[in-house]
Amino acid sequence: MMPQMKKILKGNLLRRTGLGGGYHLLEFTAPGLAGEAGPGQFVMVRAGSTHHPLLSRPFSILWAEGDTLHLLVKAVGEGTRLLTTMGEGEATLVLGPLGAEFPLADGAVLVAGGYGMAPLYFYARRHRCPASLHLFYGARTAQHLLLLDRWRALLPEAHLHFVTEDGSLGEKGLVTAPLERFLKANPAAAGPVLACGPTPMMKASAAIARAADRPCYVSMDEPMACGFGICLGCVVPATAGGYVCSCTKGPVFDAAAIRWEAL
Amino acid sequence: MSDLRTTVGPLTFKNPILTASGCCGYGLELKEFFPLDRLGALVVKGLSLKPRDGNPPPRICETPAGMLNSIGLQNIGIEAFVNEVLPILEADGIPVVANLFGEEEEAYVALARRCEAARGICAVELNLSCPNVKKGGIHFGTVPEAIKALTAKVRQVYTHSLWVKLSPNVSTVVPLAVAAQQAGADALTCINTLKGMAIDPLTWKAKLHTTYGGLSGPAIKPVALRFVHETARAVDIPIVGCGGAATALDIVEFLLAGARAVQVGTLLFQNPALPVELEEGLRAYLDERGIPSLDAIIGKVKTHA
Ligand SMILES: Cc1cc2nc3c(=O)[nH]c(=O)nc-3n(C[C@H](O)[C@H](O)[C@H](O)COP(=O)(O)OP(=O)(O)OC[C@H]3O[C@@H](n4cnc5c(N)ncnc54)[C@H](O)[C@@H]3O)c2cc1C
Ligand SMILES: Cc1cc2nc3c(=O)[nH]c(=O)nc-3n(C[C@H](O)[C@H](O)[C@H](O)COP(=O)(O)O)c2cc1C
Repeated sequence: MMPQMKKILKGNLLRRTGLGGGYHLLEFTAPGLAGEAGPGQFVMVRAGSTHHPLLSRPFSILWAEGDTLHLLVKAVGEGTRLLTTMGEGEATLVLGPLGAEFPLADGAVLVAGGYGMAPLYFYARRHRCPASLHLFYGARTAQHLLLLDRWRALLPEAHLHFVTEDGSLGEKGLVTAPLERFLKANPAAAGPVLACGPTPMMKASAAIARAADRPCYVSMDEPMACGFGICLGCVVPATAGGYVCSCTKGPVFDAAAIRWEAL
Repeated sequence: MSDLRTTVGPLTFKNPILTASGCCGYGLELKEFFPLDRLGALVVKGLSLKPRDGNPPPRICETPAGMLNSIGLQNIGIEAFVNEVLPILEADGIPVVANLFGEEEEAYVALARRCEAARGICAVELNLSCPNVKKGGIHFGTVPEAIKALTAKVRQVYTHSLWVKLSPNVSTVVPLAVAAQQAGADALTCINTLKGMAIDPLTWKAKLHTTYGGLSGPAIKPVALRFVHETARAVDIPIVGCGGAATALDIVEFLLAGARAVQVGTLLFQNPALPVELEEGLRAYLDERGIPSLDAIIGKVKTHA
């Protein structure tokens, strides 16, 4: 008997949907893997079949159901370009599920930036009471705010706080401004702040949550070579001293465990 | 069916596929992907006397057909390895090679002593790509006299197999290989990473925190093959190849160049179950050609004239 906890498989691309703004929705068949995945976890996906790129790429799980794994991929470089131009029916190496999950808690405040929305969407889908959640979701323009219909189906409209840098949808500015106002306006609430997005956004969210006395968890976005703890490449500086791998101890961390000033 | 067994000095491995140090942790993560006893041997992450935190990030970046790393030899230290990890590996029935490094000769000697006393280590591999703090930071692996002195000192305290891992960041390798052999090494591992650098042309920043790092992956395979070939002809002790192996045919090339075993490093990051695929691919290659055993292929490269 092979003791198998993590899976390596040939994921078949079932469907690829362009969402605009360089984002794509990829659905892979990933039997065994998808069923075990939890919100906050990620997969390593091989892009292409040559030595360029050589290493697989990490992607948060957007949604997993039955044998199907859903990813939200933004094309930024060669690896994501290859993945977002893969033909339906093509197979590639998929490894996972990997990493730590966001803790499920009622009244959690979700803070999403860019593709950082993905694990938080999974979180809301898995949550026993998504109507208790609040979402603060920021992007450059309205075009970069994705899957809004799906979010509207999960959370009450009043719990959806959209923010764009150019003001083309929702509030104009950065997502951290309405987050701070919200936490100040609800001092008695205790739901944790769960953030995923660019590092400066998470750093700011962590500081705002601390000031409001709320627990905060962040999903770190460190480049990874392996994704399962053997290369020691994706470390973040730890409050406890030294460094911790964001693939095995994270990517979801208690924000207090990270030495932000050293990042 | 072809016999995949190989010998490296007095040691016999069930197949020539080994992990490369620093690319397989201590085996505990790989175990979740395939049974470790499918490997010829496990060469664990470099160990020092005291645990080490390693370098600040960014520690890695991808390069064409390879990657640069400057992990800074983060490790749990020899005591934690011997007490907490070795017993687990022993239960897996996998030969373990302990990769060792220090900043002075005495550290290597103390590490080797600890390995001598521990159960379940079949060989030590000395990583010489380390600055010698007592000798003005000159790397142990770049001067024949330094290799000779260090290897001889470790030899005095370590009775099992002693491997010396050579650095490619040297102008000539043969005197270094000969020095290690003369001092009593049982085998040579060729090669460690090549020193390199990557720059982000948009931000003008060096991509690694330490500016320079070690290049590994398929990009360095031709260099590794040359080192294996050159050292195999210069010394009588066995050579363990390492550098960019990605496919069963790469393993064949290392064997043809003269390696008796091949370590797989960077490619494990892409596919942690690769050793099983390499073993099956190598077996198929030999079976199809009716090659009965590895000795019929090791060192048999045909050169022009
Ligand atoms: C845990 C985790 C979850 C992730 N989830 C998603 C996701 O759900 N959807 C998604 O689209 N992407 C996600 N990413 C980021 C994704 O892995 C990178 O965008 C991808 O690796 C880039 O590969 P590439 O070959 O296209 O670009 P590369 O050629 O490798 O890089 C192109 C540019 O992007 C930068 N870059 C590369 N990796 C990262 C990174 N991790 N963070 C920030 N900048 C980077 C490079 O510095 C370079 O400027 C996640 C990353 C991590 C660590
Ligand atoms: C992330 C990383 C960490 C490494 N750590 C060590 C180490 O601790 N000790 C050592 O001797 N070599 C170390 N190496 C070098 C490898 O063992 C190997 O010599 C080199 O990577 C070439 O093989 P490859 O191309 O198959 O990776 C490391 C390499 C990488 C990529």
